[in-house]
Amino acid sequence: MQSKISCFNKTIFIKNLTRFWPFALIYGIYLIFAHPLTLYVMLSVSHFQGDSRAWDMVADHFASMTEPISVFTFAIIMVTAVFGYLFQNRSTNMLHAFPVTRGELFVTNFASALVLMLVPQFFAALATNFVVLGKVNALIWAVWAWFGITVGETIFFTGLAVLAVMFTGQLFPSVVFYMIWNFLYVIVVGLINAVAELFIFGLSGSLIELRSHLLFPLARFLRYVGFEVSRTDQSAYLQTAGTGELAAYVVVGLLFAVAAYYAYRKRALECAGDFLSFRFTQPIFRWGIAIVGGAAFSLVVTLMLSDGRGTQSHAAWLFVVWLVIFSAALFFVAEMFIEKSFRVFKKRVAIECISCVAVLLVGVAMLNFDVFGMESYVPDVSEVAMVELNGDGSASFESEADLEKIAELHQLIVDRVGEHKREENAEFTDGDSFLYVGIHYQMENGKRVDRSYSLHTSDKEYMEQLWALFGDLMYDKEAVKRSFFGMNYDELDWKVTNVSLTYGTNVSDLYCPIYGTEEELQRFYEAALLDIEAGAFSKGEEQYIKDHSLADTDVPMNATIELELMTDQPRDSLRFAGTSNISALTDNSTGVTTNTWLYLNSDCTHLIDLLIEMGVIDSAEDMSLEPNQMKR
Amino acid sequence: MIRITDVVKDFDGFRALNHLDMHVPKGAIYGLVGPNGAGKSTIIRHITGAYRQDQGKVKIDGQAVYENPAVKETFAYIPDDVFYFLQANTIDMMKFYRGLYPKFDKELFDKLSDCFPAVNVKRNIRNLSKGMQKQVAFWLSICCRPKLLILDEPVDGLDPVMRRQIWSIILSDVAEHGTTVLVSSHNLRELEDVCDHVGIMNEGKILIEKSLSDLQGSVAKVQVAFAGELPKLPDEVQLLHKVSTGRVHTLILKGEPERAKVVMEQLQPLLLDVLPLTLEEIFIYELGGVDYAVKDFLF
Repeated sequence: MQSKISCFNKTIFIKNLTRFWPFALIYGIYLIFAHPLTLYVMLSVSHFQGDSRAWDMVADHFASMTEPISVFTFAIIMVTAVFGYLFQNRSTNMLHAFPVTRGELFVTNFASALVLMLVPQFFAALATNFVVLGKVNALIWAVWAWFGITVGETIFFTGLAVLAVMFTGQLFPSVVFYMIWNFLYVIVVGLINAVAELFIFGLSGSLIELRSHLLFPLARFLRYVGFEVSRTDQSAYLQTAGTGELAAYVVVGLLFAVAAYYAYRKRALECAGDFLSFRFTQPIFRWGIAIVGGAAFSLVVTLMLSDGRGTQSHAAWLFVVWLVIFSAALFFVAEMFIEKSFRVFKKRVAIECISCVAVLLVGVAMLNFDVFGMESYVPDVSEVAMVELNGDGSASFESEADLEKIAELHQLIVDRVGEHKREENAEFTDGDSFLYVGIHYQMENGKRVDRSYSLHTSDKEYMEQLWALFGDLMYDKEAVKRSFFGMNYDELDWKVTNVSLTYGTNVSDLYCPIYGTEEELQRFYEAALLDIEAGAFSKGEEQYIKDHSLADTDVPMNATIELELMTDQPRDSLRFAGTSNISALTDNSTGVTTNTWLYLNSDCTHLIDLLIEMGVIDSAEDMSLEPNQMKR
Repeated sequence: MIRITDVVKDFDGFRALNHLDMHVPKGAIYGLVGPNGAGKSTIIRHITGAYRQDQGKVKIDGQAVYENPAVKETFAYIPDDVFYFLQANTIDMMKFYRGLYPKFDKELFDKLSDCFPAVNVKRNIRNLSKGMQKQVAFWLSICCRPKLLILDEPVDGLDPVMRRQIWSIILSDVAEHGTTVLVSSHNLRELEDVCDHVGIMNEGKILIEKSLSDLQGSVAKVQVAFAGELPKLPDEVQLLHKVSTGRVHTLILKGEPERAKVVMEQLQPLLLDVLPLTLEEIFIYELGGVDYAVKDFLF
């Protein structure tokens, strides 16, 4: 008998469960392996290591879970299974001739897909509960919190999947649309950034910052939704993260489901087997494929053909030619998918195709002629928090005076962009000067502005002006210290915990750990500061290698001292620029640890003397020997 | 039972149904015939509520069909290519139909199993032959106790023995329960023996729709022979077609066969015989030169 609830049909629901339970079983097996079984094995091993170890294992397991990937995958499998009848005329006509409304069919099928997902998740949570019970009772809540988070993600992805299914009459496109909708933001932003780099002189990094954007739900869930472990000296906590954001995604998922319901009601069943089920989506599809596909293919071909050869403007022209070819071709390919025929070369389609290509060319022209003013943009000093300058090494700046100098340098460059573009690939003549400058602004509002310039003009006076400004900034002793030890190195009270020397030729590297007492190791930090103060690092690494290779040996070499530094200052108090010598921070039980690399040169007398004193090398000349001749 | 008024349906600019009007009386066995592409399946999908018309009305027992489960419960639909769920056997499908149709008669299903001895109810239906699959479809549909059976090319592709068997099932259900039947076919001969109403369709329109008795009473085929030439026919007789072989003339006359016989007897022919007309011939002469494509499909 039919259910009393008019929007739900028990018979269809049971049919779905009895037909598609194997998918739920496969998902359940995966979940059992991924959670209770993994935890059981880990806790069995940790049995002899104490309760805190067991807590760590369970907490870390939840904190590092990658559940959104499996939910993302199985949601589309379940949805295409239960709504699969919409992809064939035979089945769709039969199902809709039965005494059920579309509303009943939709709600019942949507509920079926959710149940096929939620039941395995529930049993996995239950099994995990039993595994954790008695061993880490304090984290039982986390098991059910995991279940709650997974349910939320399931609702979102199921809503998205069912919406994707409603927009097509075929199985494969529904999966493709689902994937595309998830990754669309990444694809489009990636393409815009890559194309912009071709046309905007000096643009580096991203024109549009990607990160884990709200429109990239899979990455968003992986990065921000789940659990976080906080550890201090005395205790550790596991807490949920991003639950508010998840709730918002659940609402969006339900809105997708509502939109899908209305799409189902409006959908003409004769579209079963069609690529697109709504006519209004046809131009969107044609233009989307032509623009996104055309740009992507053109970019790949351009990069392949111009890799390391030619100028930026040469690559840009190459891109434009391929863009016209690929976008026009893909426009017709999209039409072929829509029409399910190769006979699409009609006047109407051709006119639309020409319009599409024209729009693309206008867009490209706007980039090329800097209509948006990106090439000539120099950030206002008052809006800049910090700047990292790259060239021969890197240095970071945040004082107003330094920022003013950088703005002056940047303005000098952009004022002559046209000239730089023209001479980008001009032949070098004796006495020509070349300057590479990377300017990376960290703005007050958290955004970044990245520019990289390879500058070469025949105007010597101008180049000298640039070099003077650049050198003043780059080889300032304080700037070098900040580059090696952080923007606020003088507040951090760094302790050296490990030292190593990497000694390399252009053939191979030799890694040599240096052992010593705390005091001995700490001397490396002090020696480095003294060398910087003496101007040893103010020549630049490349200049040093040039100097050295012209000395009594023809073996080009570099020697790098790596210092592992630790401070007991809170993590948030440490500041350093993204590509400076100092690397990312790591929390551990005794403080915050980081690493920095000091590229030795013959002027680093304090560091070389210390190496000799500690018996690592015999003399300064050792630095020019083959690596295997080193003492350790 | 079924009343279709001014229905229009376009598919991407192609007009599949063109202001179609159709009426299937209650208790009739209505044969819907027409060439391939005439729109038979399209109008049937409107009647079953699968498709939504762009214009016009499709009603069963005075109620619109689209999105109306109460109306859909009253009919059973058997398409040309019946759909069964993956891995479902006859019992599974019976349970499914039973869940959807409130009037599903389980006892009848058990009783009818004797009529379908060749069907293995526990075997995956998709593994059965096409004929067997059709039998299962009829078996399940009849058990729904429908007031209306909608059959789209029900015997297409079946061997003669199976065709006979399928028709036998339909007719016995009609005889027992007075079920209305709408059956589509592109073969007029197939329907001649079973239908009492016929609608002929072409290019999305019903060209003619009449009861079989009306049709049979509207045209007469007369074979006559005279000593000399064929005399002038009286004005009350409308000659639709004439074929002469020597002194023997075969005449197709508009009007009732009995009346035609009386009129022709007045001309004192050497030979007079009123011959039966096939349904195909009636349509051809009724339609005259209306549509060349229709003639093509009839002959």
